[in-house]
Amino acid sequence: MIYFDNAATTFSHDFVNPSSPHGLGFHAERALSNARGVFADILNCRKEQIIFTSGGTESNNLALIGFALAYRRQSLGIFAEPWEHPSVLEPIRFVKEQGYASAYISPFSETLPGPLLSFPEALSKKHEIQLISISHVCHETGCINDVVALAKSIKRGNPAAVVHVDGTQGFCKEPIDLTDIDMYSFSAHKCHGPSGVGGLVAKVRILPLMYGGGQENGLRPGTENVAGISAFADTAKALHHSIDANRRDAAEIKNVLKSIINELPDVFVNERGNAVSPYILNMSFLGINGETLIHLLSDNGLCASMGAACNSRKKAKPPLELMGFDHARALSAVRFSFSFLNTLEEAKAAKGIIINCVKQLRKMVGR
Amino acid sequence: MFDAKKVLLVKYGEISLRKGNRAHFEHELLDAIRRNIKDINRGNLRVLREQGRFLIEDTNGDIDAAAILPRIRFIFGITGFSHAIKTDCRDIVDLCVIGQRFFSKHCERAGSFKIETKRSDKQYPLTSTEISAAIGDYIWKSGLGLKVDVRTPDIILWVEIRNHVYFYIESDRGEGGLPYGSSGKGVLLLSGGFDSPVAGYLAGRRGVEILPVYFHSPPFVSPRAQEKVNDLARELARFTGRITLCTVNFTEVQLFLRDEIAEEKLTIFLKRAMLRIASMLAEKKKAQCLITGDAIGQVASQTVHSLAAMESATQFPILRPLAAVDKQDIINTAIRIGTYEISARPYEDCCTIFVAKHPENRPHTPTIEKIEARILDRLEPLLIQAFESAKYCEIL
Repeated sequence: MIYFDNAATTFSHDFVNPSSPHGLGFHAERALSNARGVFADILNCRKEQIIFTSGGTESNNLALIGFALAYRRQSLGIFAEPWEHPSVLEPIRFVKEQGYASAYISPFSETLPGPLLSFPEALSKKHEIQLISISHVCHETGCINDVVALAKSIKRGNPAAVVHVDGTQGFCKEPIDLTDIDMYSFSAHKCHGPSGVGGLVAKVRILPLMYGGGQENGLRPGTENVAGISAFADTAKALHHSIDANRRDAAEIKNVLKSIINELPDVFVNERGNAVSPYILNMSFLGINGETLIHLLSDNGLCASMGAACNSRKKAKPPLELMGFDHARALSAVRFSFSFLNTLEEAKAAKGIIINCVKQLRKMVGR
Repeated sequence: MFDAKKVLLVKYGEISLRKGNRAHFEHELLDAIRRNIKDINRGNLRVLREQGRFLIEDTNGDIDAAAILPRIRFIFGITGFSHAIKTDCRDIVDLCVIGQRFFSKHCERAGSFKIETKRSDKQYPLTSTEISAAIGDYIWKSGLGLKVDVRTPDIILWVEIRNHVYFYIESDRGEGGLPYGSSGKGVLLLSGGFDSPVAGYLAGRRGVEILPVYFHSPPFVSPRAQEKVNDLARELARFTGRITLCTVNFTEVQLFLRDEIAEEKLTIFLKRAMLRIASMLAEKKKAQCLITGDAIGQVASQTVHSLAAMESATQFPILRPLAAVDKQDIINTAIRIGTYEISARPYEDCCTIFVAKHPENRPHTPTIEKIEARILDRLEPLLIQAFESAKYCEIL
């Protein structure tokens, strides 16, 4: 075969440009379509509702800004909680600054799902359309929002309301039903897929943030990352079938680390409510700075972080404090997060490392 | 017969004033130039002395100044580079023709011109003024349509009569200063901030060989802070050539002082401890001074009172090149020398942990010394231990 279509996409043994009219292009197009089918099955939506993007951040931006652009001539109110990921909060701040929508960033999920019934109703008089953005699994604490019940109750109270779910931390980890959910963001690299790939399910009208060759229904133009998307589809398919088994394994790992509270004083698990992801454990070790502990853990071969890595360099009130945990707890918090690749042996070793490091640091800082 | 090829003439300023050490300085500079162009020299590039200048030429023909300049423009001690043509002709009639040909290629947008001649070959039969007049007259009459204006000319044609004869119009500025290492050695207290790299650059430009020392406090400080300092040292090394960064683990000292010293006095004691360790390095490496980025009044520990309270921690003089420089001027220099972006990275350094929000800004030196004397027998072993376990990293 002679490949003379390098202006479209230079030759690759994986995939070339799915828009190219020749056989290899068709091969790529089919791979893309198959991948789309995989996600449509997993998420129980239609194939054409899926827009592939570069990841969770882009999906959230496309959902929020894209929706606000589409409805900018109507009265639009956007609601989100202040501890959402910056890729949710910043686009909302942007559309507010541009005057496309009013933004209400304040807590509303604390006592889910009861009183929430009245939440959109109270505001329905003020705005023609409401967009509620909520994460499925909180990236800081792992707390799970019952987004399905939430969407249902919102729709019952106000059928015109639109619900966006940031599924970045929940995709392929928690079961999800998108029946009452209008937009859903997901990302590959949070579940062992490649970095730089993600997707948005959009059942409502949105406008694109970029313009070009019309790919992805014109909502995300640019030659598709076929190799990345296919790899993501393969991973997602495998993970989707083992959600329950993986959750059980993760829960065992989490429990091992959680038991540190029985062995060290002044250690707290930062969680609210009963539904918490087994993949995320947020703990505070009073008296020491979370970041310092992370450096010491890292020197001892254990990688953890303080919460969203994307946010770790900014100086703002920590999300834990916004959630109502006190300053000392927020300052000394560390987030451990797991995957199906982790083992119980690792958890036991990690527990030892954590206990030693915490003792060592507490001694250093004289506590 | 009117052969002339493009060369680079390198000017060095102040070192020609130092009669006694001149040969040594020239040797250091020649060495630095040769070292920096080594990677592109396939035996064709020659660097020669040329009566108060250096000449860089390509034995195969015209020189590729664009390839060479970026490699040598950082060298301290060089004041400028002239994009010259070099000729072996010496007869004034030939020089007029060569000068006019060169000039005609560079005078497109100019309305007026003047000739400046330097004659370091005192055997040459004409004086500088006579040479300028002859060449100027020839160019004026050659139909280029330019006026002569000796006061505010649009363009100046420089003529230099040395072992060879050179013509040039354009020059680039060099860093100036003195050849690196020609003024002794100093230990630079390098943090991740904006000031200390600039202080190091300024001292280096005055010929002081820089031995940077960084105080690291793991795990309280991110490993990225260490990387930041490595990167800063690498930027400095563009000017200085190879430097060795000394990293001292300061955690034990810091914890000890935090337990012993009142919070509002802690900064002063931390800085004195750093100066003591820096002095050990200075002694070991036979340096003559310490260099800090202190700027008067910038923070509480930089009031003149605070600076005074540092002095007795070391037997070495503390050079503070930025003492009287405004922050914005420091920032501007940092931008120019390429350290700004690195210093702007958000990682904390050890100066910012455990420290009071409002540290004492008028410490009483005798009090500080008295307190320090009380703890010195316990502090000293920690300082020695920190110094002896320091890590050295060669940075190029």
